[in-house]
Amino acid sequence: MPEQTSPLGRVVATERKPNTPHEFHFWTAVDSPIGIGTIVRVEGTHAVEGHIPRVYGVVVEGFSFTDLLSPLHDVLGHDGDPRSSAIAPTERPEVRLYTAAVLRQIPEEPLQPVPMGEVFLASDEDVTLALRMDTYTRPETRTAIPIGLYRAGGMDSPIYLDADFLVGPEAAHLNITGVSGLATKTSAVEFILASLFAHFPASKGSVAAVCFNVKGPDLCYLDQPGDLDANDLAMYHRLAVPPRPFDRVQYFAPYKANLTSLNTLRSNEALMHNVSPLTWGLREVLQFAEVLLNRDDVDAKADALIDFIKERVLDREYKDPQLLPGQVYRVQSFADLERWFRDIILMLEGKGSEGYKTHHIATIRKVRNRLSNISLRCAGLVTDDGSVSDLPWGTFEDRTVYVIDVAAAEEDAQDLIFARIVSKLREHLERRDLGVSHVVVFVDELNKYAPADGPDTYVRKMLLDIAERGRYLGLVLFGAQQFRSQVHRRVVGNSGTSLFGRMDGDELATPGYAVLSPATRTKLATLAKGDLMVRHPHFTQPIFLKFPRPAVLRGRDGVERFPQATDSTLEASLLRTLRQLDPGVPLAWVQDMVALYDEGDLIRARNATLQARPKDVRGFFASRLRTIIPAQPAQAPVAATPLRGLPADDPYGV
Amino acid sequence: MEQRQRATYPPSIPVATFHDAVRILAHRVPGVATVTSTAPTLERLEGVHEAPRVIDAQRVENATVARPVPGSPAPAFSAFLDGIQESRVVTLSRGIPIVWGRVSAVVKRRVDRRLTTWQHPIVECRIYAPLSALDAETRHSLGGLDLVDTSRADDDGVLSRHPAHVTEQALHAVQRDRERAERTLAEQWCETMREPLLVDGSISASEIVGTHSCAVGIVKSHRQLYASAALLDVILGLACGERTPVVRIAPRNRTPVHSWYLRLRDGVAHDALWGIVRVEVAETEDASARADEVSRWVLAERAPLALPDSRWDRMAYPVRECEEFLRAIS
Repeated sequence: MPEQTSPLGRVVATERKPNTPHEFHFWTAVDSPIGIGTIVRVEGTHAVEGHIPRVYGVVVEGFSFTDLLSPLHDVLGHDGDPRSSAIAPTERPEVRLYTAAVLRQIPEEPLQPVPMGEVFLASDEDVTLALRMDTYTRPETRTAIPIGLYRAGGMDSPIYLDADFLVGPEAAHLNITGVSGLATKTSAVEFILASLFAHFPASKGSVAAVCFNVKGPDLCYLDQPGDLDANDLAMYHRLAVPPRPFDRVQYFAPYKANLTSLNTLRSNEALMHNVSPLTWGLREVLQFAEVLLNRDDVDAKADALIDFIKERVLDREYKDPQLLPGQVYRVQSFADLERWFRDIILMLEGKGSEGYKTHHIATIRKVRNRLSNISLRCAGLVTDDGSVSDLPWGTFEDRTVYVIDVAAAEEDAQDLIFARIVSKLREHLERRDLGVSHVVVFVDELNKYAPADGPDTYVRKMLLDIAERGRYLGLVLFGAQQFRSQVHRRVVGNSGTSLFGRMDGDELATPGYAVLSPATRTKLATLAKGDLMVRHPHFTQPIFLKFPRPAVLRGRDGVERFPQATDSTLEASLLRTLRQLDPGVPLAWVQDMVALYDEGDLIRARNATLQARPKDVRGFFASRLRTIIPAQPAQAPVAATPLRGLPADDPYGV
Repeated sequence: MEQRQRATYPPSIPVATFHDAVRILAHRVPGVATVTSTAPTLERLEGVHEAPRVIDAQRVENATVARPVPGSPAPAFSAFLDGIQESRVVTLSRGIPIVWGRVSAVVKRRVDRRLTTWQHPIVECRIYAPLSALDAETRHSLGGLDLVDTSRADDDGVLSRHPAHVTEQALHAVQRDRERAERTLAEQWCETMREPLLVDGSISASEIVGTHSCAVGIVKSHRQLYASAALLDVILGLACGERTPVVRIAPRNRTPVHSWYLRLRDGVAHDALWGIVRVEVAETEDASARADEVSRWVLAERAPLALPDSRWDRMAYPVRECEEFLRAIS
């Protein structure tokens, strides 16, 4: 039985404004701490089937009025002068009338209109019951993930999401909407991930997160502590979430086009210990050629040629004694592929032929052009030489965040990265060999990647696939966007949990928000930083809550505290990279290497070393370079043996 | 004095609402005609108002001109008292109306500009019937109800059965009950609180109230004007914020009080008595100073307006709230 405090209001119903099983009205004193979003409890007065009904509701609308019939009466009463109001010795009684949406009725049957009764502010226990959190906060079957605090009337009640409905299998996915620049979307996701890592029950398996940093430095400092004030710390304590940054974070970023430094804002030397390059070769890219080639490019004929290359040419010995006599190809890189294409086209041109193995020369030219172009369009990500630096597929670790920084990458490269990583995650989760049983994928700007209208891109199809099938695999989408109405409805519709930060008025005017009361919409339009409205399958109505600032360094602060490294020379880049693996690598040795070898060779050797992470860094690095026969001093010419002199009696002598 | 007689059928059965009364009487007196609830209350019937009268009053202040109230209006009332009544014909027994009546009264105390209910309001509901004019069976069937006999000893046998006469007598009985409820609360206030109390109506009905310095009566109805011929001109010519000289009113069987007329609002474009109230206070030695002081209190109650009440020109807003409160709980 909840603690009985003083009632704050009384339920009222009139013929014009009756109560229903899902909505009721009550009035309060003018100074009561009731507001939009407040959870209240109604104690009925008459037993139904032996039980006094108890009803929980959340305030969705408020009205205030006096006994005035017309504003004119008030104007007349003050002689038209607002300042004269102070001289009135009596205040007109003001009515505060609220409408509440029913969250839960106990007992739940028979479902009846809300009875007359006293209205109380909900206690912690009431909030738990009202939001049906009692079913998943029991110690023996606890799957509760704290998401924030419900605050009203001096109450600080933790609000929990059900892990079964957040990461599956019952429901899954989380979608968050809010205007930019109010530290809501990214901050909320950072806090929820921290909470998920802290509270995800071991019995449910392991969980990791893959976050795509698509803009700015937002996710670049997840392992660095941020500033928290006493209020934040109190909230962390109340929610039982450790107020510290993520313990295990791995960063991945492609190179810049010059291939000497990584294309990320997290390039300060002090932070490079857990930053790895993200580079793919031909094999990795060709699987996702569809991402980069639009439908106009890849018709059925081109598709057939690409399939031919993937199945018959790539990564295998390719010979064609009849048409390409004496040539043996092993295509592993874009450079190899280019040579293969060039030879075939030269051969066809030489013979005046128009087709090679049923593929028309025009198709061959087009596919060659489009594929060759990829390494230029995705420079820094796609390597000509086929070297690969990738996520640790198969060895993902529990409670680890893998951040893919694509903020500075070209749009094509972003699409390719997203498509390939999500596909690989899905493949590994299907095979149960990823290393963890659940992966949360955080994608910001869903407006861009899964728009409600526009072309049906590969990325959008992939997001739809995650949204609709991901929960069975343990692949969970945490998506964020500024305009929910502009995201594909199947993506947001399949999201079991939705969060709303401060909203734009135009967005709130779209039909998707018509289910909210005008007062709730007004509150959404004026939410403060750190305030959210949450919808969750267990909650029958949206609930407002507050969450603490994430315990990680904010992007803006991180950029100031850890300035980005300037574009370095090849020498400095090599030194910095190799010293991450072996701090004892001397500068003079690197300088020698740079002096001796071509830039391309050095970059290839660096990539290979980073990928292999050998114990003997210098030895491995050197072994990847072409062998150079050391110069030797020229030996003194051996004096020619003098010809024997002619005999004096040589009869042929002259 | 009160002429009603209580029936002697203990214990009384509550008739808290008009529907209670209809239901109980329909059950107890089968065959009688019940009246619908849409019929107007007796208070709204025509012909029940008293005739206009002008009653000469003894002058206390030796003046025959209007006096502007000196100083600024200053709120001083701590509480406000008002009562309401409602009466309806419930049923007819051989043509004789049997009336249900409800009276209520409340004191609203003002604290920090807000009004709160002081102690408990009085709410009483009764049946009013001329027992002597009813047949024995009907009299018997009314047994056990909280009943007021409205028969008068001086009524002749025919008049006592006149329906209009019966309803008028019932209405007067209800009115007496309402005044008694108001008087009870006013006396309690004067004996315990001793802070300025604005009473809606006359204070002369009670000796305790009529002689207590904390009670101020405000009379809004002017069917009876207490004025000589000279003073009548002064009353009718009052400007906003002016009062008449103080007079002494000593009705028969009532407590003498000092009284004066005060115009609260400019009456231009209204009838002559619009915006005028009559103020009653206990008799005092310094009548002029007391009249000025209380007038300032009353003038301070002009805001907020008591709209949408039709008597807003004379009614203090807290009095309207008393009435609204009583309508809500009755």
